[in-house]
Amino acid sequence: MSPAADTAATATARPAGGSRLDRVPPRLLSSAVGIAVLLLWELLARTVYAGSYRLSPPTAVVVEFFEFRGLYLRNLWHSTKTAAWGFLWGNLAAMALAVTATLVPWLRRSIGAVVLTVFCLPFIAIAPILRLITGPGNATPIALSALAVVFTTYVAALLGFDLAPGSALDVIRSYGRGRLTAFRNVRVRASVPALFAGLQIAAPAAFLGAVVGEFTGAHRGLGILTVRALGALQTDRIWVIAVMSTIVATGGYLAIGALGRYLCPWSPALDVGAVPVPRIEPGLLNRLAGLAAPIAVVFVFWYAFLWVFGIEPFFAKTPVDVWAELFSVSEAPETRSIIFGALGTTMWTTSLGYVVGLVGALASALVFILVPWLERALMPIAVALRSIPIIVTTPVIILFVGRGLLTTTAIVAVMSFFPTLVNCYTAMTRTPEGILDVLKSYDATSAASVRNAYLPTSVPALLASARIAVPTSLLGATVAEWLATGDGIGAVMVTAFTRNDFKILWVSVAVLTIVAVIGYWLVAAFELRTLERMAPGTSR
Amino acid sequence: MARRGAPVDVVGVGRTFALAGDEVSALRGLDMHVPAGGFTALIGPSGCGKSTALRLVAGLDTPDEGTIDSGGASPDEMRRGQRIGVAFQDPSLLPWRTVTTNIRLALELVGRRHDTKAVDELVELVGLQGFEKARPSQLSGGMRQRVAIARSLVTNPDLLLLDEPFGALDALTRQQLNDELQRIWSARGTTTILVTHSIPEAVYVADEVLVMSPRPGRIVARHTIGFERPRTRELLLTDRFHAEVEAVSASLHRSEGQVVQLDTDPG
Amino acid sequence: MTTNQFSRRTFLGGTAAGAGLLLGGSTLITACSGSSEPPPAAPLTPVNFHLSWFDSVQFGGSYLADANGHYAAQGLDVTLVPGGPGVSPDTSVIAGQSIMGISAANFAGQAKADGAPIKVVGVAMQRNPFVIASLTSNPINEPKDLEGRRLGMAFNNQLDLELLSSLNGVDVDAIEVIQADYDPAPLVTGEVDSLLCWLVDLPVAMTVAGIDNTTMLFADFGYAVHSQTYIVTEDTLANRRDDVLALLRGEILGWQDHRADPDTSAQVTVDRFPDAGMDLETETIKAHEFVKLMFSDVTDASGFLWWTDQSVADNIRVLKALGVNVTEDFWDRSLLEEIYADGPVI
Repeated sequence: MSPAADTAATATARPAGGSRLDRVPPRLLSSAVGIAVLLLWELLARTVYAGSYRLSPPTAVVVEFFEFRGLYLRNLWHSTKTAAWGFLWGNLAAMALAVTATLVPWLRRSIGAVVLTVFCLPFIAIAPILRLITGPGNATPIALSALAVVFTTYVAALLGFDLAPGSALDVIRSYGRGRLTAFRNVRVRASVPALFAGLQIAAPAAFLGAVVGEFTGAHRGLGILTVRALGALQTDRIWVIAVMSTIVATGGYLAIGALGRYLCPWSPALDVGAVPVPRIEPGLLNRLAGLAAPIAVVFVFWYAFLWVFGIEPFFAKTPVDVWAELFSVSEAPETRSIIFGALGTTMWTTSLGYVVGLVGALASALVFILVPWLERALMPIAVALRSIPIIVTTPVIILFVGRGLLTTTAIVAVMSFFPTLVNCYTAMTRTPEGILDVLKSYDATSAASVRNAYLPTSVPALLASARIAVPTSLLGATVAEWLATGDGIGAVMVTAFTRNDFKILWVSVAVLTIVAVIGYWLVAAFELRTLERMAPGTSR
Repeated sequence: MARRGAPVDVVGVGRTFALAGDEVSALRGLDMHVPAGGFTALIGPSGCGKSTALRLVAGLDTPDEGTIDSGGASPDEMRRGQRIGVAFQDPSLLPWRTVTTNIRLALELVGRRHDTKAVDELVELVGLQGFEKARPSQLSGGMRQRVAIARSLVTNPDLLLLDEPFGALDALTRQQLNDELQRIWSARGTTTILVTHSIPEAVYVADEVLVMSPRPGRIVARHTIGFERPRTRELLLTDRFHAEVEAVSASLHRSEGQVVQLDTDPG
Repeated sequence: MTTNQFSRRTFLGGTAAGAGLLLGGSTLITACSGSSEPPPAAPLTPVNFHLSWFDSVQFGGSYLADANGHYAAQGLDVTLVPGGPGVSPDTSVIAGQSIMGISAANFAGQAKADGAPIKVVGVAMQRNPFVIASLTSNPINEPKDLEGRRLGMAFNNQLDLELLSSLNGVDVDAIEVIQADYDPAPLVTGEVDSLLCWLVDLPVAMTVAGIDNTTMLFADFGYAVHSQTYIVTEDTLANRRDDVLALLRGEILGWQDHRADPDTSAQVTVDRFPDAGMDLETETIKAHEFVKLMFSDVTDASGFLWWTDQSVADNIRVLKALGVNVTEDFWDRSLLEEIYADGPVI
């Protein structure tokens, strides 16, 4: 197609909305919407929410920030620095693991299992255990923040290495050179776009880890400042922290994206929403072996962890201890009823939020695709909100929703909504132009375009987002239960460690991790099946 | 079979795109006439605006100047009346649908979802019996293109617009599909415009070959192809066929003012 | 001047995990900040003292002990380790990372009942600081008033509420409990009629915000649970008794300073933690409130951190009702008896 025709095709890549707003420059539109939101916010805060200790007007937020700017900037700097160290260590570890998994393929499944398990660990329960190992200081926040990024970066790096063009790898092999040469010359370069997409996601995750880490005792940091502010009726302060974190997180997200584009100008932006599911070999025996080996590796790591750090028996519980607590000791029935009762509450609120978040995201993506001016006005906001660490949103959601069960649902929904929205929308914009032209040539209705093109094209992105959202939703839920609702397994874990009940703590950690891993695999299996059914042979 | 279909009259059409801050004129003063039931091929150098012209006729884009008329209806009205069938170089099939359901898509879009007879007919017409349940990923390039052609025909359109549908295929498959296209057109009598790079292809299938100039594109030569139908592969070996190909090629040369690489190997 | 003491675990972890050493390095940097600087004559013994919450005037006496050189005079280099919602000081003590920690009788008692070898060696708050806070316009003056009212509280206080109710013949099912934690806003906005919280926490925030409030102290209605208790392990008691004695002496001296001049204590606290965003007025009010909770006829007669045998009996009874079974030997007063051999002030 000629360049001119290409342009024409792009111009018609979406259904003709025919709105005059489509012609307004995007920046102008975004700014206009931004200003409108600020005005509405100010108005609401000064009228409906006046004296409610919930919503601070933007002007008050600005005034508060400048009055105490030294305080805010010092705390921001501290938390950011912690997150940056965690980001560095976590990503280095992730990349080392991805390199190993690429060069030593038979290790890949086991590494993947361990990394996924780490991703599924409930942070709020891991934090006190880490504190036990590291002692006082900044090591726990840094370690948590590192753990928070390992999985997504590992998956992104692996995807990047795998994306290396097969023909280029063959060229290297035709010269009689081995894997290492191929790795150095082809895979490393090829991995950059995917890697940076992963790093973008890792940035807010690192921040979350740092802040949760602060809760295990620190002199300064945004997390501590937030908890103090909640207790002291300092609503303005909570809003300043939320706004400030949003700006910083968005800045980090955009900066990493820009760096990726600078390093890889030849490559289109990649989305980790498209992270492939590991293939499961057919055959029952293969499947069992494929599952058993990683589980065995996880148990080995569990014992190794306890042994290497020499944790005392009062704190350290082995898989055998956990099994005994749940099934063989005399209090086992009571433990089971506590754990599974709480787990039921958590699962219920989390699933609700998860489904609401995913469905809402898909619906919003469709609205954006059908009403382009709305997309141009709101998408930048959605991209910004995607990068906000949940820990910062939680107090704000508490201010509005209160501390009921709905809070958990709301937080989980918010947590899964924004990444899914961005991923699905991006996938929809990549609907092949030819298909859209065919639809348009029959004057297809919006509903028909959605059904036949946009919705099916976004399914892979939706499923990939849904898969990643399983552990993050449970993480969000337990944080919400801890900080806000006091219900569910999150509360059980916090009660356990404040009351020094390490048996319950380890049992909760084990059960919740297993639930998250199983949830992840269920979605992954569904994803694989769906992709195979939708377009056989195209899923990796 | 009775001739049917809509004529196409393009008068003084121009289209300009904004490209990287520049205004690029893709078409200027484009005039062409395709009679009802006619088969016209549009040929020209790369980037001359052939595809743009086709998109304008399809109502997928609107001209900045000039008019396009199909027996009293504008392209947009033709499109909204669901009287057009299109097929592109990329077959643009839905990967999650089978051969049958991909063809049926067009019927669904025009509200004739249950017309299974039409689908069966087209599957047979394009020679895909036995592959009804196959997905695009399980088909060869030529078979996918047949599905796309079948889809463009299943609604019985008044106007069939083909934008290099065989461009990516090997020579043998291409010739086979040219034969089938001719056969289908003869059977249905749908007004057809084919954009192509291949002069022999244009000469082989069309009643009339229009040669376009480089950008901004307009028609610089018209060649009426008088070979009797049905045309067979023996025609390709005859001197009069070669003479016609030479003539079109010469027009193309003149239009470009430079040497073009000719694609001269169908079969 | 403060150096962080690597535990065996940290060091092992460092060599095993590679990254650990660097992590340990940053630990060191953080631990250095916020300590005072009298030049030591003899080498000081470094110890960690784990506080029960974020930096606050709740630990004003400890900051004064540091600032006024009481710890150093006792030969100690004390790192005051902050707590938080995600950490338990008991854990730090049991694991040997901190020589002493601040806990409460119910939490530490639970660990003791589960087999942790710990003992209480000091009780800063004989009167438990739990209150029911309400707006003065709609006051809760006694437990009975809770019936039919909405109460905001943290989930893990359910047992405490049940205990208070049973001690006072209140039907706990008649109280509508709503989750609310660390946040007085629900009371101020009328979502709840009352809050279960600390006397020195949310009520002070409301007072500073100009909101008239009423508090009902649990301790006045039979809820006898020692709070801000100082705990150590039996091992430490046996092998590092002198260090514990020294730390307790430093603490007592610091808190005697606090009692003498709460305003200065608040000022020292606010200055010590410029990044905490503390408000001097709030901390000053709290500093005075803590004096009321920590000093009583008992401490005047026997010294700061002292407790009576009667209060131990009360605690054992109340803890049992809370599901925590401990005996008298959980409390060890021998160190205080040694410190106060010459009278209630040192």
